[in-house]
Amino acid sequence: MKAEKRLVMKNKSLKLILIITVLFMVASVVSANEVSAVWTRLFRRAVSLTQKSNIMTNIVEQHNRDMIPVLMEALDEQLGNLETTGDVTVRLQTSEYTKMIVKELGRLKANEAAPLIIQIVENVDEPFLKGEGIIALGKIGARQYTNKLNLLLRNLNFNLGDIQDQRKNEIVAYSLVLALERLKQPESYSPLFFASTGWYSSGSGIRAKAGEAMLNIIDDPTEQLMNILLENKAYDIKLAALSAGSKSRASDENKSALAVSALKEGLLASPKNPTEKIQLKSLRVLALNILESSSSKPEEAIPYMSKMLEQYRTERLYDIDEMVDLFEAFGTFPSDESVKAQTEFLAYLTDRKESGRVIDLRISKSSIIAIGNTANPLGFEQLTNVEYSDSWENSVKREARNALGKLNK
Amino acid sequence: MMLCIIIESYRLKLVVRELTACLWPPKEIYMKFKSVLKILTSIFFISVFFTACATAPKASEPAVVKDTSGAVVEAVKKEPVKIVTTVYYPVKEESYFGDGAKDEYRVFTYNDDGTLLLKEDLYGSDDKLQESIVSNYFSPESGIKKFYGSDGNLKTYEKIILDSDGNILKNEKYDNKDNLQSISTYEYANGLKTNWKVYGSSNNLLSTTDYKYTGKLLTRIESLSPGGEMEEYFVLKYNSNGLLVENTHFNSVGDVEDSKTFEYKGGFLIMEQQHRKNGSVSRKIMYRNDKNGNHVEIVYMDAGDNVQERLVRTYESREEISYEK
Repeated sequence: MKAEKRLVMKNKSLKLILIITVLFMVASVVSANEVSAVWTRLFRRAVSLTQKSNIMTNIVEQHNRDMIPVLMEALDEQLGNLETTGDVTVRLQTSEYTKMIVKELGRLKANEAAPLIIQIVENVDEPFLKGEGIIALGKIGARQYTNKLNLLLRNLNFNLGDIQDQRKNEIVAYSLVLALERLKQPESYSPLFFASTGWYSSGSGIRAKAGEAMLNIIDDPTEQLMNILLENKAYDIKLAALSAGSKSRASDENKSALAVSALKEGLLASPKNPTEKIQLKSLRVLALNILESSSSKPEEAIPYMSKMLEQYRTERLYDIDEMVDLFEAFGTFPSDESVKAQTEFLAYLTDRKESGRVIDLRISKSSIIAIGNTANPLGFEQLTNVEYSDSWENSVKREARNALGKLNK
Repeated sequence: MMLCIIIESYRLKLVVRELTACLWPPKEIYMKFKSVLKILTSIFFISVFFTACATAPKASEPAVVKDTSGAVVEAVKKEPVKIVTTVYYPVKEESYFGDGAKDEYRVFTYNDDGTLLLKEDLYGSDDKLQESIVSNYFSPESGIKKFYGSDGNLKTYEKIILDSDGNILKNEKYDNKDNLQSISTYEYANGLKTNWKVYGSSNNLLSTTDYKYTGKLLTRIESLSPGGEMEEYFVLKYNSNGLLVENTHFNSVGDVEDSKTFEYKGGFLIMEQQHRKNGSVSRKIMYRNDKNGNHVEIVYMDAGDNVQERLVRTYESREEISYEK
């Protein structure tokens, strides 16, 4: 009896499984050809928006490429109706209906629908529908419209519209960021960069998303960032460009090249207010940090780093923290030119010390450690002077001794 | 022994139907891919044959043989044969763009033993939920599917009525305010679908589709207007193994509208091509199958072989144990 029961149960189970699989695939219960044909026919016969919307719901749920022609037909029809909807309820229903079509075309990656979708993007003001169209263009890979989308985002980045339109503009801007990230065209880098530094509220997520998109659309954005760095006067933009470069997947060589340019910019400029002063300092410090961590050590950096030493000597332009960052970078540049600049500075410090001046210990030690880190024997003379000086503190002399031990014989 | 083999073979066909049913409609596709099923059946048959010898239950257990409706047709005192079959079901479907970047993905959730599909969740590439389809089963003969949007609100739902064999008899679609949107009804003969009707929200007939068979192979589909006039039809052709090789779409006066052709390797579908009315290829779908015939990768391409989308499916499996003499 037990076995009989088990068999009965088994039969029920098998039946249930069949039922489940049927339920699972209820949308595709008949092969796709006649399904798409039937729904296409029904759509063409539908008169009212409600009828069309009901049928379109069925079409969309098929999620089948055979439906692309009827979806395009429906969208084409909607393009002709955009101006004719006055009533709010009808307008809302029309918008929802059109969004459903556009979204499905995007999900189906129907590239052939791009010319219709771009018309929605260009002719519709309603931000959610416009945004859906933009996202769909990204999903279908409509690269032919990259420049149009770039221009749209660039204009939004300027924030020249009415303040009451900002929320609406944020919806569109977010869609543009998503689409441009998907289209992965290098020329989108600049508008995405300015979106990442733009006026958008943090709640909109645009700036963060644009930052992610920048990383995804191009591995090496050095060329684009170099242009931004050199062509923009705002120091916060220069800093953001350098920061983007440091986070990018560019080669160390290119990151260093960008850092050298940023360091040059940071030295040439004169801050007009405390904010700019902080921004410029951040720019120089980030450039030095990049140069320190990069495996590429361009000789072009040394004149600018040396200039910082000189300006410290003459004008005390830089604070101690910044000088420590400078020496940490210098310590990774072992060339003779680099070490000559460093030893000259150490000689200057020793002279001042022996003449009874107070020298900040962090600066003197950082300078000594940096020379030791280069391992270049050109540092021998000045380090020895420190070690045997009667003026330097013992802790400084110990650093000099350690540094001497690191020099190549 | 021969009786045992015949019963096993029939039972395995059922099981293989279940395997393929995860991705296709059971009956029509079973007919279309009959030879694939035959191959699978043979593979399983061999394994089951040996399993049967190795894992037969104790002789003291009574054995009952049932027909497909579950009725006891005879009681024999032979050793029952244990049949172990593997049932595959998709648990994830990931969509990739042509350049390889990940797009949306769908996660299928089943009950604990993997026999009931409870939920399908569609996520965007940002892992945010886009939509959910939740299925509730009131009984083996009825169920409801609810479609939720990304905001968690109900969008539409479907009431589904089935017969005792699991065939859908009726599918009523409602919006989130319980307004009827459309109804589909289905008729069957000898287990094969013969008719599909679509009704509008006022229960008015919108369309009729008739399915016609040669033997058990679906060979013609006719779409009729509410008045019964032929509007379009499809002619389906099969190769000598009973595999669908061509599906041509004609308009009411017999002109070709478009067509699809299908290619197979080792009995498994590997390529589908869509043709325009002039015969030129408009789209291709390439299938990569695992050793069990499950589509693990589906690549959608345009006529120029540019990849538009790549779907990757992941399956899990469960073992079904049954006994037959």
